[in-house]
Amino acid sequence: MAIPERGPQWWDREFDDLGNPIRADVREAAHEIWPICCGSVRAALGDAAEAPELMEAAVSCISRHLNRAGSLPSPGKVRRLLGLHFSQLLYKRASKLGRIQFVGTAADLDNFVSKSDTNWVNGINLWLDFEKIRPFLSLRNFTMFFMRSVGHEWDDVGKKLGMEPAEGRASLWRSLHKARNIIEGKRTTRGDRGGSNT
Amino acid sequence: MKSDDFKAHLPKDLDPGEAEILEAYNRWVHEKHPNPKRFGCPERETLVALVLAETKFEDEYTLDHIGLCAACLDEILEIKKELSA
Repeated sequence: MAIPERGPQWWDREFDDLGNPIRADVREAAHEIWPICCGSVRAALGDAAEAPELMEAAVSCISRHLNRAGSLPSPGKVRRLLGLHFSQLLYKRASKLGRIQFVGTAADLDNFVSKSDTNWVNGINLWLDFEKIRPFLSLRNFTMFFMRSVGHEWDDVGKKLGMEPAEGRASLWRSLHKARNIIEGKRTTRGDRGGSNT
Repeated sequence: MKSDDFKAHLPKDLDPGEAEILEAYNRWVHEKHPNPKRFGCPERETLVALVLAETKFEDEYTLDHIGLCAACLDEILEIKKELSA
């Protein structure tokens, strides 16, 4: 009989290192998102060896956070919170190990991580980035996001906002680049004011 | 809104990487600004007028509001669906 293949396992325990009880809903959520989290760690770090430590840290943190807040969130919200915090911890770890080279090529990585896992990781990370750049975007930028999201092409957006389509498009991208540069701690080389509320 | 449903509504003249940014915006606005009680939302007629507008839409309040309101986003998608039916 074949032995079932097992990936890394995180330590599902009732109390954290400080002796605080770990919430059952958070532990349950961790089990549900565990396979996806392992995939994201493989994608970011090359293998899933660090996944258990990251998950244990995320579970403790979210459990403490929810206890402090005294809230009883839905299972979906617990999963999202835990997934987001896991992703944050993973990014910190990946940044810390930034000089480590991945073994193999992007094609090799495809063998380790399914496409759906990769999409999930990208989605979470983009969400986090969006939350970071939000303070640097104007209301008009959000109006453009809205219009583009509901399917308006730039010609339509331009008409409704009373501007040239190319002007609107350039303005949005300029604001995004500027916001990105700010959160990455870089100075823009041009003195444009693309993020203004025009 | 599910990712696949969302992508079906995107415009044809997307720039590279824009679909991912708009998807992130969609998720973010539904998470942070769901507005289920419709606080401050414009009337449906106003949203219909915005969808149909061929010239500058002068209602700045609505333009500012919609970018941070998932309920209006979903309603406009409904309106567009009805209008195209």
